[in-house]
Amino acid sequence: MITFVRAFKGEWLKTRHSLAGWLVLCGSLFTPLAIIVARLVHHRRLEPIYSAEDFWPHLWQDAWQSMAIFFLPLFAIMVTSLITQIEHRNNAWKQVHTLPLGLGAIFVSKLGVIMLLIVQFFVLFNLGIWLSAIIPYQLTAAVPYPQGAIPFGDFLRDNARYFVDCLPIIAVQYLLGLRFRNFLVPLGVGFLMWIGALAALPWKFGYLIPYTYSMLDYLKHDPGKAFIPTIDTHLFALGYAVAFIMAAYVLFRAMKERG
Amino acid sequence: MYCLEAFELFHRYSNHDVVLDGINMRVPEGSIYGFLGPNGAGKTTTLRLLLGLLRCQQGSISIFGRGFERHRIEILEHVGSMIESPSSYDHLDATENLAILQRVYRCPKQRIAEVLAQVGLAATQRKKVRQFSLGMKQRLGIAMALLHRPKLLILDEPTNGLDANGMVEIRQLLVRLSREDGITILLSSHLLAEIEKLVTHVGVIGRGRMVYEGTLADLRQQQQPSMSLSVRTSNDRRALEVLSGLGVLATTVADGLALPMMPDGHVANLNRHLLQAGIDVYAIGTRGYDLESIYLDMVGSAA
Repeated sequence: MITFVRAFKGEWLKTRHSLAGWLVLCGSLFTPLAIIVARLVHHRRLEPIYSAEDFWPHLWQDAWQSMAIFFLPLFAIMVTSLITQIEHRNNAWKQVHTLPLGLGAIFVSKLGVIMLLIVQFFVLFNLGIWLSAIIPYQLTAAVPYPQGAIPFGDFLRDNARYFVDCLPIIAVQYLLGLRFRNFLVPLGVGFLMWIGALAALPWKFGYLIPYTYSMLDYLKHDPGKAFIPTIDTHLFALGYAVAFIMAAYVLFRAMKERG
Repeated sequence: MYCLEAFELFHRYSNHDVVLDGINMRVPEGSIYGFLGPNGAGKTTTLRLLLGLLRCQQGSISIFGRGFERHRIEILEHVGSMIESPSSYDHLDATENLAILQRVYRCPKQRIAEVLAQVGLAATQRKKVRQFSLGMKQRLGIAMALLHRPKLLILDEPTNGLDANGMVEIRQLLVRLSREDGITILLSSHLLAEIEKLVTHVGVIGRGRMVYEGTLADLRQQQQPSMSLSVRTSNDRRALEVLSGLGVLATTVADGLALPMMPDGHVANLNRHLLQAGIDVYAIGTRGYDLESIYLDMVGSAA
């Protein structure tokens, strides 16, 4: 555990001045910012929206639309590729492998950094949703404070579900990122899988594609746009994540040349 | 007492090319060991094996008296290394690069400033590594290897990319580290002249085989019998006939004639005879005395 903490601290430092922070910021706040701008432009129509009892669930649902379909899968693809590329780009794997760290600690600490960036992404996105409600209220005189209590329990549960939904994407991208030096491989495969997932949404076996889960999770509220399976897709997501992470670790250990 | 011992290292790449063929290496504690060989001889492969960057296919490695395979992490706690080009993070500055290692090795933060001063990078401040010259990156790589006060330092061509002053500074630093801190240093180079004044021991590798290992003094001693005289004249063919007439066994080589070693009086007599025969003598000297030619002979014969 101590070794993991040492390794994690080092790995976290590597993200400084990298694109990771910007990716988190832009990816998580884009949708809330778009909502704020849209609401300020159409401020005359806000009064009934803010007075509605289901204001928060409605806003939550609106905000997650672009997030579940676009930003979350794409963020998971890009941030995972970015973190694994840091070593490839700087020719630094050989440095990492000559540190007094076990292979497990190296593998898990890097994955831990990716997870933490995803958590940051979720936290900022949640904060952004709250701001997208509050800022129009603050700036527009006729708009009342949002009615109804914030359903924290529901939001937390949804966050947890979407987090599980993106785990298989992280696992596949992590495997590819560790394996291939050329960043085009993990990014290219990631984008192709994402497009494939979009195309496979109406297919009854679309849920077998590990990049579809956040989309299916969102679209279960709008079943006309996708075939929603009756099985629990979160279990599939977890199963895929575990399988791909294990495969990534086996391949990582089996590398004949380290750096 | 040896700090590092390698026995019968063998390595074959996936294209079936044998890169190392039974390498034995013994690096005495406290020594500066120069690992010499031409490009492609197997130096970097050997160093990568010693650090666990390549899987050991055959043979064994022991560092600080412990098997590397079984005690990898404990051993690496006390080893500093720089293999091929330096591995630093371009988007960070020198201090941040060292801070990554400082967290892993849990060494005091003030060590960062100390090693930066040691390698002459104290003034780089917030400059990102991507703005560094190759020489500065090389210095940073050495600083990274030194940060945790290793007992063994493994450096692959550490003066690559450095200017003449930089080379001298790094050599002086390595000698100081060896003398004052007792660090054992294993460094590779393809140029003997570059490390001749620095090393106490040498290992010479040629075509994946260790062709010599020992002290520099022993190397000179061992090669004395094979020394010969070198003569350059205006007419080597005619000179060969004259020498033959004097009973001297001479052979034609690329840059003149090679003769067996002989006392000074004989050399003077031979010179006189050549002049009397109307042959101009441009140069008479010894062959194979300087270390460079010994080294070139060795790696040449391994080829």
